[in-house]
Amino acid sequence: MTNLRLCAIAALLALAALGAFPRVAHPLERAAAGERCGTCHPKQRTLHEEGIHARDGVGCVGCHGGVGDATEAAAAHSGSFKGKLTREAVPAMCASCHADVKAMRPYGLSTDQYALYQQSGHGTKLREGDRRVAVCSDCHGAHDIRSPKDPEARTFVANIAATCGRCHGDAALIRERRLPNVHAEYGKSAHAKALMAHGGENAPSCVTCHGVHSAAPPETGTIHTVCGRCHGEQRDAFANGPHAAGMKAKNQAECSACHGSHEVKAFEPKDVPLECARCHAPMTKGAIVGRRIGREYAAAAAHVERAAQAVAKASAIPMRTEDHVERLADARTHLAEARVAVHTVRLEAIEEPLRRAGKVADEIERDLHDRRFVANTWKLLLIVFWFYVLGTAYLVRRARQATDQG
Amino acid sequence: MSTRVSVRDRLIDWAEERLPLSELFSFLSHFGFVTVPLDTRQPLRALLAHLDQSAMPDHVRGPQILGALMAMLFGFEALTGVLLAFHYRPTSEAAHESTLAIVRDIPVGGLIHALHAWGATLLVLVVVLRLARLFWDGLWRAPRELLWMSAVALVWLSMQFSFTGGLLPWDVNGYWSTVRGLEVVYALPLVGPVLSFLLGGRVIGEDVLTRFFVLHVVVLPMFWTAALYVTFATLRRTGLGQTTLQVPNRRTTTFREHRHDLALVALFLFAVLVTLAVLVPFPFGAAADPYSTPASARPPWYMGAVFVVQEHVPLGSWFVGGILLVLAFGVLTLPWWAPRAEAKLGEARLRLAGLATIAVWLVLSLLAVLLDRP
Amino acid sequence: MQERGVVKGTLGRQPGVWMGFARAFLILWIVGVGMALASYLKPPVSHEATGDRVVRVARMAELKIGEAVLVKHGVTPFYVLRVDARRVIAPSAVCTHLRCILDYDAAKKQIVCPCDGGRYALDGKVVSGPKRAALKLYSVTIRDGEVRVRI
Repeated sequence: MTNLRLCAIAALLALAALGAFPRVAHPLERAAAGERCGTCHPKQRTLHEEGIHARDGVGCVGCHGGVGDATEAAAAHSGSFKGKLTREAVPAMCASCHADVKAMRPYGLSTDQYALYQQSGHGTKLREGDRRVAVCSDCHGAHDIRSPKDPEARTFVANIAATCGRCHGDAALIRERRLPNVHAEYGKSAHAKALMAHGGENAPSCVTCHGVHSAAPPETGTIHTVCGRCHGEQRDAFANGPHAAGMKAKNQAECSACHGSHEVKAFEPKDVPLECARCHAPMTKGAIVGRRIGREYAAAAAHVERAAQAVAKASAIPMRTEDHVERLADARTHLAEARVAVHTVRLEAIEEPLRRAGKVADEIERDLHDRRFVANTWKLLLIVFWFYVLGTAYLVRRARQATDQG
Repeated sequence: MSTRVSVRDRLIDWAEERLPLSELFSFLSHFGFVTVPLDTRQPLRALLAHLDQSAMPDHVRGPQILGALMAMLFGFEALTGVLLAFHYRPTSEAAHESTLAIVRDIPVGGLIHALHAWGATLLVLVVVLRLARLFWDGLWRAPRELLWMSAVALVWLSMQFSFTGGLLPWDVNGYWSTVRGLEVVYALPLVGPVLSFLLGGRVIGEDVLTRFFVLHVVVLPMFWTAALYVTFATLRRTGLGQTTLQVPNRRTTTFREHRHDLALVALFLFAVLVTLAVLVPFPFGAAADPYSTPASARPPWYMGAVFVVQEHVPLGSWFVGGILLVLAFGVLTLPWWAPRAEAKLGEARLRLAGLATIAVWLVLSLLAVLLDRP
Repeated sequence: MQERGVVKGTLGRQPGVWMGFARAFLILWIVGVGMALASYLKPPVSHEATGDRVVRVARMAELKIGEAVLVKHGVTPFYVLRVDARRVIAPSAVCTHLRCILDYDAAKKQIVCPCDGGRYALDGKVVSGPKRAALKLYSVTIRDGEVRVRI
């Protein structure tokens, strides 16, 4: 309580202090139109004009201070001129507008980024004096700040991995800090493949799990919640199985213990036993269950595959197979259910859907077999047919000869 | 037995009293189904008895069987074609679907489709063989020019039947081989634009399908019937003449025996076709997509030679089309230019030249099948 | 063997036997071909493109929990009933007693026969009423948010 109160008083004092100085016009009130900075800084001007700040009338002076319409360098670089901002100064400077509720209201932007940033890994380190952490301009750009909806923006969903990777994939930097190359790992992941394949529609990038401005690694114990935001059924299955309590007791990272944290492996069920063997010693219960999961899933999947081939063969004959195609999709749905159930690591929960998949595959195969048998009886009938033809031919010849005699 | 015969007799008497059946029979005999001269003033029963006893050359021995086979196959194709038309719908949306329904869902439909398709293949083979036989035996010489020309027309018509019929299922192979075939046809000077006008345009869509359907089921059968009439009528007038192969064609038989022989030939033809249809299902592909060409689109086997030339000769499609056109009309007008060629070359060499033409055709077709595997 | 000899011997004298055979064969040909043609010419029953036995009922989102929808599917009408967020059941709507079309009693979560007041539980078991067989439950699959019932 006292802390909060102290804070409030300090904030009020700070406001009063600000009020004591000559009032600096709000950046948004200063139109960029009359600025002449670009005459000497053409490169920055070009970059700036591509960004969203230029569109919304935020000019050079808004961030750098000084006198925009001055004709001389000395005059321009006077007054409130700040020059090139230091890295530490950047977040607070951006926040001067972006944490201002009133200023952001017209744009419908939230104003909590600065608060979030300060709690993030980046923000914490920056406060501790580490200057080589990401500040606003590292991700958003300094002069060419674009909307995240702009496909060229560094913050566009498909570009996020590359943006984070500029530091987290930088060989020298990660060696120095003894970090894993998470950028390269992510590049190999199922998530990255899905992201590239679907243009970021339904696949996660870095910020989906780590948070955007509050970027920090999820903590052990909350990982299954993070993953479960998308993989809800797998999370439920995991929570229902013995792994949930067991891993918690040993303080193991839940999902990433098997799937990895950034390389997010989508397992082939045949690889499941290998994965189990990483923790469970051979011939212990866990390893045995793992082997059985792999074996039984592979058997059921192979069975469904055989049925699929039988259907393909039958429809090439051609034979009516729409119903079988439907049922094949059912069987594959059951296999998918089994893949979810693997997260319970309880054999009986996995065997149930596998049994159903196998049953459907069995029905398909048997049905097709029956139909093909019917089709093949035509070939058998051919023998009867030829006997009949030869009999008829014999009779015709007889009739011909009979007319000879008669 | 005796009652049955009398029933038949009574039926003939009953009809004879009410209808001028003799005249009808006269019409039929003139059409060419009967190849012996008949006195059609007799009542039908006397006529039938006379016909059964009358002697005639044995037409179902040796190479002469080709003619009988040709006529039977045509009748067979007509029957199965009518049956297929009961379930077929000639629109680009429904063509493949309805053919698939015939082949797959309707009882015996697969058999009838395969019979029709194999029958067509056999028909092309038979008319070409027949043409070769007529050439070898010199049956193009006066006064049998019309016989020769109708035989050539029957070859043309058979190929056009096969070509138009190939498009009707609207499956991948049929569609794309039609596209390639039509490009050759349309590239012809003079003839191309006219045909394009008649066939419904250069782009194969709804219009072309409708016209191909009408050609296949109405126009071509009419032409075929006319050509068949000319064949039988010239035979009645000029007779077959002797073959140089010295098959015992001088053998005579009675018309009654001839009927039994025809029945036997028809029976075995049917049996062979059924066997083919059941054991070797005719290929039937997926629905045609005008926006994706499969690598496997190939013309029918008898157009393989054209295909090879078109693929490997660095000249426009008009070249192949032109060769085809010259060849077709050259063969048609053979009775007029061949005597002069024969005078220069001699009979044996002319025959060899004909054989060489066929050999080149066969080798090129074989090359098409062997070299151009997708 | 002996019989064949007899037949052969009588041939010359009695061609009628052979004519009889020939007639029988001819009739068999006509009957066979006729039957094949008849089966071919029978007007085909139009099939639904998705296969004969799978009925696409509704989107999952369209079904309210606890509400039963009667699907009038030919001679096998059935109810589609969303039990909870994930489960959908499809009990037959035809009473196993006298083929009356059943009603759904939402208050008691039972299926009621209007003819005799007999009741079925949602798992198809008979709760009360005259003796009868259990109600058939068709299998339901949900794919891409679409409820499909296999008849």
